[in-house]
Amino acid sequence: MSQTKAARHHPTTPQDDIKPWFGRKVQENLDALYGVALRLTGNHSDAEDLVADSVSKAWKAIGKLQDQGRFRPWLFRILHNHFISDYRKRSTRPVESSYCELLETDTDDSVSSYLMNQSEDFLRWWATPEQEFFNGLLRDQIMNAIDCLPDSFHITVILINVEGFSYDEAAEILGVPGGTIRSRMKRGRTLLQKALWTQAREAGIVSAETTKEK
Amino acid sequence: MTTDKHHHNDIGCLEAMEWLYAWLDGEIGEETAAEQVQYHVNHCKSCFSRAEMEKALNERLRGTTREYATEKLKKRMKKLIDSL
Repeated sequence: MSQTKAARHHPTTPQDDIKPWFGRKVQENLDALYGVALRLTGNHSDAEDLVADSVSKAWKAIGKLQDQGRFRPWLFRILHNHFISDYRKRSTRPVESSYCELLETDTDDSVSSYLMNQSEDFLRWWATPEQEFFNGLLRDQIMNAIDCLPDSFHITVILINVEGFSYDEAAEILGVPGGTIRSRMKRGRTLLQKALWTQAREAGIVSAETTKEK
Repeated sequence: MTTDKHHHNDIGCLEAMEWLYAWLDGEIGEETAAEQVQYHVNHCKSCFSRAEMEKALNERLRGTTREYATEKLKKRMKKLIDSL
């Protein structure tokens, strides 16, 4: 789409400003776009392609952006939708490691219901966690744990906890009600704790003996 | 963790856990509900401990997991934007 055509459809930005404004906004969000794309696709090459394709799509659709203040969630919604439609099938996000298999995916999202089905070791640690626990975790271990989360929790935790979106913005990006985001955060974070705890035990940071003594 | 309610205004551990993440993220719109979670966390040792743990995890997630665009992507994007 030409600059003139995009600007003609944009509700508030003067024609001469639309392209540099769009370019600035993309640059401001480039690290976050790449970060989300990398977590979704699981590899650098597809992440770069996904970002570039999404920015091209955003430019073509800039006339449909009703509120410049919502540019960021609008742009990320385009990226997420593009991932779902064109990239998800070939995503190389790791989901087969042993701790991933321990993450249950039933639909009951209450914390109490989830905890009722957990082992005593995990519950003991969950109820009395130690601050030192996270100091022993490496960045890759945290990222592996995030990447183990089922899709809907995975993207929600990344948008909110890693990239700092509000629940309202995350709901707009993912096209779901705000209440769904709150439920996903609650369940996703509990699942994340389980994945981290399992990894920590495998790495010897938290031992079964230690958790039983508490 | 206990399911006992410590005070007539105390929502109890399970209810507090249901709202803990929204509370930590500043996403409980209703002031009274936020105060109820805060009251419980401040008066329950195990929930206070869990809340501190979640805060620590929030900091680790925000502080150590962000990615930065590659130089290759930066050049590609500059070229793409210039061509619009």
